[in-house]
Amino acid sequence: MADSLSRALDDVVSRAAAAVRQAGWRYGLSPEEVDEVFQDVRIRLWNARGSEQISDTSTSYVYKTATSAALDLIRRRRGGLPTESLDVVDAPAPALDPEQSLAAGELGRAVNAAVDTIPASRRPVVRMYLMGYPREEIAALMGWTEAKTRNLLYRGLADLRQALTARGIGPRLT
Amino acid sequence: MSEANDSELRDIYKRGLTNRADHPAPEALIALVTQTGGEDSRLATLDHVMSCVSCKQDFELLRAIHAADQANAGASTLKSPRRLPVPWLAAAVVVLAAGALTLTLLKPSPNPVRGAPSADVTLVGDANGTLVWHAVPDVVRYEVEIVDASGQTIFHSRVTDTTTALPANLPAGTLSWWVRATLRDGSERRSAIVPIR
Repeated sequence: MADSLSRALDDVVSRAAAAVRQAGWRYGLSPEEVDEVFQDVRIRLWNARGSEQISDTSTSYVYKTATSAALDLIRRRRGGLPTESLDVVDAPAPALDPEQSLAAGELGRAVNAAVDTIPASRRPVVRMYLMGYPREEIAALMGWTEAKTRNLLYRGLADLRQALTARGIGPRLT
Repeated sequence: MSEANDSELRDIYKRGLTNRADHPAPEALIALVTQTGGEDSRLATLDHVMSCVSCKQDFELLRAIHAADQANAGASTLKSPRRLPVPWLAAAVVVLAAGALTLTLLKPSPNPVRGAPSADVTLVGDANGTLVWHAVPDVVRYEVEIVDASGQTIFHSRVTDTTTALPANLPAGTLSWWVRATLRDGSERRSAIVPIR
């Protein structure tokens, strides 16, 4: 790969990595994880130098390579996943003392068990909502109208309210 | 459920999340992100993803790559572009797009990654090692980012207050910062990017 092509590709990869970091930032995707993927992208592009595929600095090719590298990273991770963990996904929750933490974890599992009882057509919408996604984003991901999303969410939250009450959780939470 | 109770319920829900077994295949995650395949299978994948710590992380990684790719391609939605019905129309669109691209390149454009700045988010500055900005009505959270002269992010933080402490070991050279506010309705506003030093 000529030096100028190397530099141009490196520039495209750096810009793509910055764009992905920015896109993932909102929902807690760590910059280190993006960097790990794009390190792999750089290696793949370097190994493929001289091939027709990267005879130009195509940004879409870089993203395609990044998707492929991310899928491989996910497959590698699947090889060594623990079966049970209590890691918090989004922003760190406020610090609790061990007793509070245990109680909160138990309550969290009870709420998750209540969510499991919601009909399958509405349950993912409720889960997304509980993870902090706005309605518009749920609609965009599923390709639904705003009205359909609102209806499914409204009915799903009503199901959840009922399930929580049946478990003796609430009424403060419902 | 009221907003306050929703927020409490969300915290509790997240505390109860675990890494579940029987993860969907990585290809199912891609199908979810790119809206390909049947709705039932995508819903099943989504149901798992939103209740599994590790799959949520994998989903966000793929989603971020897809979103950046779409932004790069200039698409405004997550859907794939439709095929144009006739070749001459496709050619006309290409010519128009090339013209639009030329015009775009000739005039200053808003940052394609961060979006255009809004007057709603105003920065106060660096006071005694703390970055300070004005509060935005109906805000859910703020995200603060410090970038170096090449535009690389070297620090970011998510807060609900209107201040954040400057990190201790900032590199030498020109650094800039900006704040993005996420509002209750899900929309976002960002400040201008201004130098720290």
